[in-house]
Amino acid sequence: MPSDSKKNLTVYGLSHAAIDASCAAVAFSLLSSKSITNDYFIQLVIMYNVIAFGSQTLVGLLVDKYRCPKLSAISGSVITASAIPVSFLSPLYAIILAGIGNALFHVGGGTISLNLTKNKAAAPGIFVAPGALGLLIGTLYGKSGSFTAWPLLIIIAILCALMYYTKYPEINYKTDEKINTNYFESIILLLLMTIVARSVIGSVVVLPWKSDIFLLVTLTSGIVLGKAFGGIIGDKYGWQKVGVISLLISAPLLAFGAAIPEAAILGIFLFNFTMPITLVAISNTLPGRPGFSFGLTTLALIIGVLPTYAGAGSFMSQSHSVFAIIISSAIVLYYALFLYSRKPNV
Amino acid sequence: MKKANIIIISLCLSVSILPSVVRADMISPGATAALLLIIIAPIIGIIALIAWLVIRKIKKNNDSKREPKIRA
Repeated sequence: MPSDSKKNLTVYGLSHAAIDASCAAVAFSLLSSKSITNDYFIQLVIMYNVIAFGSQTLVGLLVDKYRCPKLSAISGSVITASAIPVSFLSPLYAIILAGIGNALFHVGGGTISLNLTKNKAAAPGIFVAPGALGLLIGTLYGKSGSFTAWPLLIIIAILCALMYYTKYPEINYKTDEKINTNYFESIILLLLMTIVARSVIGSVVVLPWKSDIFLLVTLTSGIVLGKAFGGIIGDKYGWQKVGVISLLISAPLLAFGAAIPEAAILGIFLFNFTMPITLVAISNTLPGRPGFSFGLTTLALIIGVLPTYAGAGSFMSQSHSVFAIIISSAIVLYYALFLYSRKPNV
Repeated sequence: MKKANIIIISLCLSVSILPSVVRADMISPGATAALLLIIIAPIIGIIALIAWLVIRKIKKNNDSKREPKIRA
């Protein structure tokens, strides 16, 4: 990987962790300070998720149209930063700002990461991976009861300066490249279905040992490493092989071994391999539209958590349901990547 | 209308309506997430529909570019 790409990945990966940490810290500090009720907290979290994840499709369309990924990432960071002081005044406005800022940052950073290693999954995987770590740090910081604005504000300010001065790669906005017209919609739909399944599993799997901080940190490391290595290993040995096999191995581990930390952490590590693979496969299917592609994947993520919001989580969290969902997801991914690998019609 | 369009529109509508129906019994004074679902699920459904229309447009544009030109 060229040194410029490494620099971009470091800056945007760290920023990703900081932005997600800030959003989580804002939300959980509201709860721990007892300034809002538990019910209102749930409402705010749902609202945040919808704004942050649901709007990225539309933000992506705009960022692709105006070709402004860096502006999107920096303005997103600034808006997220502004949510921190606002959280001391108005929880609702703070959550709205955090959601908007998060969406802008993700689309901007995602667009850049998709163009660092052309058509490969490694860079986007490494960009997305630190988000989980940021969420953990932010959640612990927010819950700690000693939440103050300035540390996060200083970190975001430094990262904004780094993003501003880091030259980003040439972004592919050529929309006239050949697309696989025969299976175009099928490929996108099937890939999005696997992302929905991943989101469903992520929201329903019950890990009773998560209250142990050491195990929680190990679990988060498993998610981070899974996303990062999924792209690298997928590029080396083939997306279809790596994606499908990792899902098949993770199915029994997550379905029947959720109560055993070692099994579940290994399962989560393997389960996350498909994240960069599906993202880049969608982006390659929609050439010249990296922001929109990134947004589509986050839209699938929010659709995947809707069943939990709707009260279907308890049924879906049962072992046989988890197993069936992951196995179905592996079959769908196999077929999606099979269609993807077929040569486009000229 | 193509079969794929009908499937997608149905999916989008399901995403919009189902959560509201499932949680309809919860809508009472003090209900929290249920009320929000009434608002957010349709929003997600509409965004999904817009995304689908964009994907269809991309396909259509690509198809039209590939049509052979008739030379005089």
